[in-house]
Amino acid sequence: MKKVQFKSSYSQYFFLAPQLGILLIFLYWPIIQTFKDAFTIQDAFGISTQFAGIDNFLFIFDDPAYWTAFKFTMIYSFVITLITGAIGLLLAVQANNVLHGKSVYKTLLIWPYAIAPAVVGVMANYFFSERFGLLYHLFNDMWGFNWYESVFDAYIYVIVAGSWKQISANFIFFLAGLQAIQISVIEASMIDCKSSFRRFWTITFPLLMPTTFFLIIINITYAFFDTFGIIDTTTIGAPSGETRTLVYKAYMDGFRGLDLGSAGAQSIMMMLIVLFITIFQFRYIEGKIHYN
Amino acid sequence: MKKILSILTILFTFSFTSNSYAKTEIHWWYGNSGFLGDVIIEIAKRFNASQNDYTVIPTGKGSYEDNMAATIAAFRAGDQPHYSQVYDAGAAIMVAQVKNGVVIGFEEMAEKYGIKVNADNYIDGIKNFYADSDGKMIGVPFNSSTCLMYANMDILKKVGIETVPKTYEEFEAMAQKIKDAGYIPLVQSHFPWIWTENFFSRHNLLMTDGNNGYDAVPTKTLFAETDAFAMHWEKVKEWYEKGYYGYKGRAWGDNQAPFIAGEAAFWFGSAASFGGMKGVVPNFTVNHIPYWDSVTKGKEYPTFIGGAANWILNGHTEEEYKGLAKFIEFMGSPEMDLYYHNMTGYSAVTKGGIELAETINFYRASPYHKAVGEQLSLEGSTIPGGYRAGNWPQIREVIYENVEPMLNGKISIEKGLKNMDKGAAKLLKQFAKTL
Amino acid sequence: MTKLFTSSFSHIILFIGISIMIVPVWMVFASSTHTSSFINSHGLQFFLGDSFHENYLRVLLYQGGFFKEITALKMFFNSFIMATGVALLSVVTSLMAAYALVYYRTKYATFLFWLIFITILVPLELRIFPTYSVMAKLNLVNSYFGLIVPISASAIATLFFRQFYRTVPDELLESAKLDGANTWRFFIDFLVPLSRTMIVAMFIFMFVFGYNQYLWPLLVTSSEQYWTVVMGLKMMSGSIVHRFAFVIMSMVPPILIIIVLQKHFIKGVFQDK
Repeated sequence: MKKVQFKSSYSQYFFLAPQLGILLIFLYWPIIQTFKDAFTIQDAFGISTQFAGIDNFLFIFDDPAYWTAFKFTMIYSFVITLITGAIGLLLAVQANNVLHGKSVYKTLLIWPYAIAPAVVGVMANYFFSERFGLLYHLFNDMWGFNWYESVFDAYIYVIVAGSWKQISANFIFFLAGLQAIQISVIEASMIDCKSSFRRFWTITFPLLMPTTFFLIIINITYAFFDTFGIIDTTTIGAPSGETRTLVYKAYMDGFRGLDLGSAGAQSIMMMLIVLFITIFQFRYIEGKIHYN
Repeated sequence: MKKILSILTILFTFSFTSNSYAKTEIHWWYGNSGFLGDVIIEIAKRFNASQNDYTVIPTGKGSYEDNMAATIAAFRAGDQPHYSQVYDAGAAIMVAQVKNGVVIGFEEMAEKYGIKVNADNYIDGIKNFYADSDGKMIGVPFNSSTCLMYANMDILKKVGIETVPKTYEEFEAMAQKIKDAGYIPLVQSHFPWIWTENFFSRHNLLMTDGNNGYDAVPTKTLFAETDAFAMHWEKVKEWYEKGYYGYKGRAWGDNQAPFIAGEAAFWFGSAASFGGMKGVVPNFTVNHIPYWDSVTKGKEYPTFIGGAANWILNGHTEEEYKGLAKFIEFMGSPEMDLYYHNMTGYSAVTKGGIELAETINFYRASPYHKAVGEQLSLEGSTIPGGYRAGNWPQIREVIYENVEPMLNGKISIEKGLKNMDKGAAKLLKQFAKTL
Repeated sequence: MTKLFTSSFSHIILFIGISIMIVPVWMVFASSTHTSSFINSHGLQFFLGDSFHENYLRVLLYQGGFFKEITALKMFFNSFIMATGVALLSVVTSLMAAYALVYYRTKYATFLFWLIFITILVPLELRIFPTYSVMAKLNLVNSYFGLIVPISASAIATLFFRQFYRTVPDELLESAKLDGANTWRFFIDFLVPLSRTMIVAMFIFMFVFGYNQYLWPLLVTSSEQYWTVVMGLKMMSGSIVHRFAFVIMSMVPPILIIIVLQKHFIKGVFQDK
């Protein structure tokens, strides 16, 4: 917590009002409806709704497809967070270090981020398709890659497709973070420590912790929710639902199956899971961050 | 001054009168895209040009699933369109909504507004798919396709085959020759629709209890219990292993691609696929889909229609419904029916349309179009003309989930079918609760 | 000597990174300059073909829909408005909200923080039907407002700015107070300029986020004049090469934004010294 602050006053609410207002009307109000849905059984049009207690929850817990999606989502978010964070950091550090061509590298590495997930999935589809996918044939020659059959191969497919553009996002934020570290700090550390490698790990990286923390949350949310477009255009959950994320399953049940009760229950479960992960992060990781 | 005043008065009253002559708008939401969407727009345009009182405004909503979701969202928000195109798998939901006051049945509307196109005008097989258990039409048949077999005649000629196989037995006999020549004998694009729902229909077998849902709300599917289906699956797996059947993943297009590229001899697709293939694939014919002679003992049964119907939604004014009635009448005329049939390859849905086609010797010029009407009009089936089972899109998912492990031998056919039944039963039970 | 080595090392790494990012997109572009039948039989291409003008012109001149209002130009315009609106609204409201959370001493601080923060856990996908109902009740369907505001209901930027503010040295506020600055002045004159690079990064982030929305625009607009680029990608009729061409064109606006703001980004960094 900051030591120097303003006293609480009305002006505080002035600053808070716009965002809170939008969140209350356009987020909280609809969420209340989702909560209500989770505890009802209703037809597609919402005409005959009956209170169902925790039936929807029991229904999904009883469904093996739900647990498969759960397992996959956990693995998927972990791997993507790790890969995109590590590669993004590596590239950001290198881009920060070079003297010549900095802006060229920056521009060229930022733009994949601009591409919509669905578009990325479509592009990945062409590289991994059995017909003329370059990567498909490459991997197939190497070890008989076939994502229709092998769960492992399907994982690779969606992980590659999902990570590709997110590396760019991590790069953007790590670079911004690196550049915000005051020159004075770096210069001072150069006096103390000659090895750039050690300098990085003892001085720079700890100062990047707020950014890292932020990015972990962003990456997890990305893997959990935004990869929908990618899954939808690549494996569509194949083989047999092994590459379906929780949000994909909820979306399918809500939108295609029009079972809002089940979708609502799944939404609540997802919120709880991400909440749990985030609380864990706040407790154990943020505690270690030095803000000054 | 007087002159100015009088001009202003005229303009003033003019602006009001032009309002009262404003055409009543009717909103039609549809789920086709691409070329099919363009045809829909054309139909609306022709109607609007043919009269002065009503304007039909079609809005594309992406896909069948997206349109259904959008229609439901709109309804929940009190903002629904008058007319919406909902697909076969959504029929059960829509028919159940009549009693909730969401959907107005077609026959009911026809009686009220005296639409000249009445229920008898529609072909039986098509009519019943979108009717309730009493046989009253609820949905207005629109794009009615069925699964058909596309054959690459060039490949067949090369291999020395003269006639397209009528039965799976015939297919099996010629598959090796095709494979030896370096082609894929068979590909197909939709396991649930083509090789489940329409397997049962083609062989006159019931798919769920409750007489396919027409007599009672279904509680289970009959996949594992039906020996013929298990036999078919064993064969499919055998063909997959032998290379007679090529599985290219879940996407429709991926399975169609080898046929379009001239690598596969036979492809099971939809009557509606014809529009996109004209001119792209050199020499193909459109044929009835095969059946197992051993199961039907020589008889050929009609398949279910696929595609979608248009549904009338409640909550609008009398005047607007009058306009909608006129539009439905327009679309159901023999000329428009034939127009749509011709442009898209979907079947003609009215008897008038088929008669017109025959009168002008339509099929001589367009032999492709014959198969769909023929296959749908076959007689002699003892099962209902469709299925009325809720949560069907999710049940299709359950089917898909088991396809890959069954093909790869990871689970036995028996286990796979039992899994499908188990998943389906749970979903059917869920749906029954909402009724 | 080691300096040369480390700098070559950096360049090599960066070069590999760039190749991975650029090559796939290049191949889509190259493929968009061929004919459909060529691509269908030969797959993605690395080398350019002859059909560039033909394909791109057709996409640009496309007029679809009942009212012939679905054109490439209109779609780009709509997507741009939506994305800019989302970026502006969320950045501004988040800058302010994060400020209130970090720089005020209040017992409600934690509560307010969590109130805002947990909304990250509820993306639009999980609340889409009810949000639509709310919009309909407020009569905001089929409007730019309806396109922009629900998507701007995002606390990501707030979290981001909060993290950043906490790293700002206390000395800054102390010296500002000595100068007689009140809360508003401190915010506008001191904090915001300092946050320049972060603001740009967040703007880019939210712009892209808004630009790439598919499901929400589909539900909330029924009028053809509001079609967005991503909707067009999925729903336009056309063969494979035209889709490729449209894909490439759809990437241009966000990339342009990034390049334009990039310059500002660099300027900002050097000015602060």
